Amino acid sequence: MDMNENKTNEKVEETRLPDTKEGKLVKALIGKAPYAEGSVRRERRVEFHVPAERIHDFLELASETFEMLMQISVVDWLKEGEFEVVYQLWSVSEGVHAFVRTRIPREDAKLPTVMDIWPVAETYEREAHEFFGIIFKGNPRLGPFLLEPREYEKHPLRKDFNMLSYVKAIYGDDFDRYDESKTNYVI
Amino acid sequence: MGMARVVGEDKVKLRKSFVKPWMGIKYLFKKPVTIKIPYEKMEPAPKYRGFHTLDWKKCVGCNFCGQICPARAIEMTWIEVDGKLEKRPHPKVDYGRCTFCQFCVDVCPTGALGFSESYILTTGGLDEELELYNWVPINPKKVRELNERFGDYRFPVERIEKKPDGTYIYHLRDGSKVEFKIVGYGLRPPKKPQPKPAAKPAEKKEAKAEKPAEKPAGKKEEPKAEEKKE
Amino acid sequence: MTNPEVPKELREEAKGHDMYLHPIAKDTYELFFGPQHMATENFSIILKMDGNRVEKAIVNPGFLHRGFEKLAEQRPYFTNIALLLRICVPESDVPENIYSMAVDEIVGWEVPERAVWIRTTVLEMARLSAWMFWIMGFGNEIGLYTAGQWAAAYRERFMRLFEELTGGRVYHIYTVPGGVRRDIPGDRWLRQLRDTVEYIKSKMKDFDEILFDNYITFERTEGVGVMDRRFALKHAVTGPNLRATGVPYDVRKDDPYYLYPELDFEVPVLKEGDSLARVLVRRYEMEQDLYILEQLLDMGPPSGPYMVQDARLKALPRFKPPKGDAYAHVESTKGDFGAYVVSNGTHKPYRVHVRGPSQSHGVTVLEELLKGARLADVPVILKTLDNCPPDIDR
Repeated sequence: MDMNENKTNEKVEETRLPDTKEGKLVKALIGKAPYAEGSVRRERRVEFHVPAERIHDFLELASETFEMLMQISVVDWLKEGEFEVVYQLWSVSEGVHAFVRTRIPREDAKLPTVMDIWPVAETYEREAHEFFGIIFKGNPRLGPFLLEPREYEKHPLRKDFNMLSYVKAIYGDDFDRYDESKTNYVI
Repeated sequence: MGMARVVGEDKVKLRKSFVKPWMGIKYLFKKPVTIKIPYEKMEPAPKYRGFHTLDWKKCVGCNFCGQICPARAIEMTWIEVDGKLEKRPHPKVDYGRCTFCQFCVDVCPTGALGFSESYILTTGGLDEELELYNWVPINPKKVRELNERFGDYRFPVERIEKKPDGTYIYHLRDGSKVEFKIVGYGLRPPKKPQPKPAAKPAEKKEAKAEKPAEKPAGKKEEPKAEEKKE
Repeated sequence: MTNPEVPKELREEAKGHDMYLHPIAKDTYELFFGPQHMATENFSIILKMDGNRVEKAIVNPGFLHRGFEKLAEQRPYFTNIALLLRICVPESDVPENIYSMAVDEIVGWEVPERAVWIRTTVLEMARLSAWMFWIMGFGNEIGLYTAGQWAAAYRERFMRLFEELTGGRVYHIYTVPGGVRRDIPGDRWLRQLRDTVEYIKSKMKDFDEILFDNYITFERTEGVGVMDRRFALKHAVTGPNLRATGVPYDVRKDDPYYLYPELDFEVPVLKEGDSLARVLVRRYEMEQDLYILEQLLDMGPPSGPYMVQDARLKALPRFKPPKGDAYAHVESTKGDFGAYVVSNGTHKPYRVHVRGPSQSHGVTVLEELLKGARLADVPVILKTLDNCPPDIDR
């Protein structure tokens, strides 16, 4: 019962999209992709939440209005045990930036590559793979990119990567200090 | 009000020329823009972000500077002048780490920490020379006085003499001295401010003993896995 | 498949490097281009050469990786300014501004008018000094060193102005969330800025004569490294490089920030998409930036505070913005420079992700454009793309 109520609420939300170019854009895209949730954040910023298994379909649809993939940002939500992958899209024709968000489990972080839609995704995915260990299926160049292999294996931008012990192991004890509250030992 | 307009090739395009590049020859008869050091000198701008100054009387030891420091160049230091312990700790700045952002100066609530336009410090690689890079800044008035006297924007201290008992003597450029003793680091005061002489080495050990105590907090998750994989 | 020519003991280490994955044919050779080559700045390209032609290029970045994004998660909000600006050396104000804009949006601060004016001016000054830097690099690559020397000298004028305004020459550490750190040092500084603008404007003719009208420039760049509109959009090419392919996208026009909606300027667009088009678009933008600075000076700085008034700023090291995230971007000389900042309500950002234009220009685009290029054209393509390796590495 509760679930149903929530769903109807969401639908009301969707119909309540503002009557601006952003609102129309979101509405048109959601109409084609009912599995996604969309909202307008502010002028020239819209947001979509897409389940991970449909992300490729959604981005393929979105690429018709959003011509450029500016970046793939990954946020490691350690407590929830999830990676949030944010595809930053920009529509040159409309002048709107879209956050396309999807969440995947940290343990089994896999996503399909979007290289076939935007070839530039190759670089972004290589970076996301290197720093977070997300596997983008279909990207042939995943591997050490910016880092040395010993660093690459650690996926250093994950929140559970222990920077201090790594630096100490590599550079010795000379590079350490207390943090600004003088309680923890940090870089 | 104006807006961005798009302009095309009629305005943007140029025509290539074989003759025009020779016009540069006229520069042969112009004065060079090079600054002829040492005959000419470049003055740093007023309020150029250079070395720090510290009014020890105003400093309340709040550690705001240590908290904001992006490079963790600031360590709070307990100082003894003429056998008398200063009431609050003072920042010690490590110029090996400092980025000269002067955020520490911005956040100083009493205006004790300041900066001067001096920015030149060059030394050799000897240990005693390297002492210069880690100092407790001195009084702004003194720094300004030295700047006015020498006018070459060098570090106000010529040599830092360190004695085994923790006494530091700053030999300033005009021959005067600043002498004090560092008795401990950190926010909390050292346990025994003026004990028997024999207790001093023990105190040092205490300050060091704090560190290993903190270490496990950072270390416990990854015990030496790195080297093995290599 | 592993290259049998790679010695056994090296194979494990070489894993993942493309060049070792496939055997090299006998009549080609590998050329390591950079990082010691001046054109590459701080990264290298592994070129598979067939005689004088590039058969395949593999970009090899990472020489400048300093873990900024990880470090930014360990430092208080304001402190990160002193760190993130190091991402872009020639125009260090751009990373400062995108980060500050994103934090402003998270906190919901309305930056005071005076600060907005100063920020716009600083960005335009940064753009101009970055153009000078670019002329220096580009002039050197095609052998016209004179123009490069002039540009370096003119850049010094902007460095002087920055020094007086901010207290630093290259790394200004000036724009902070909520405003700027210092006020304008007085009318004298404004007069100096106007003089400098006038001076550079008078020198633009000399640059035209010796560099942009020069037949050498045309011969070296025309038809080199061509990309079309579709390719550029698919590869997220931005800035002058995109405008040289016929897309009039400029962040200042399409996602306006600061005072740009009130400023009058032209967006140059060419269709050819080759190196020459990129050079000419840049030259025109330089003129427009001078024009924008003139308008800003005519407007004059509005009076008022240069920093937001907020009680939370009293305890700066412990300043906590609310939970949220924001993406901000500005138009740099290299293209669309963006930052994505996530806050989880603590005094340190949860995640800072920087989008540098060279991430696309310097990796995928470069690898594509270098295919089939002559060796002598490699630096020309690199410089006309205005590739800045720290964007890639961070």
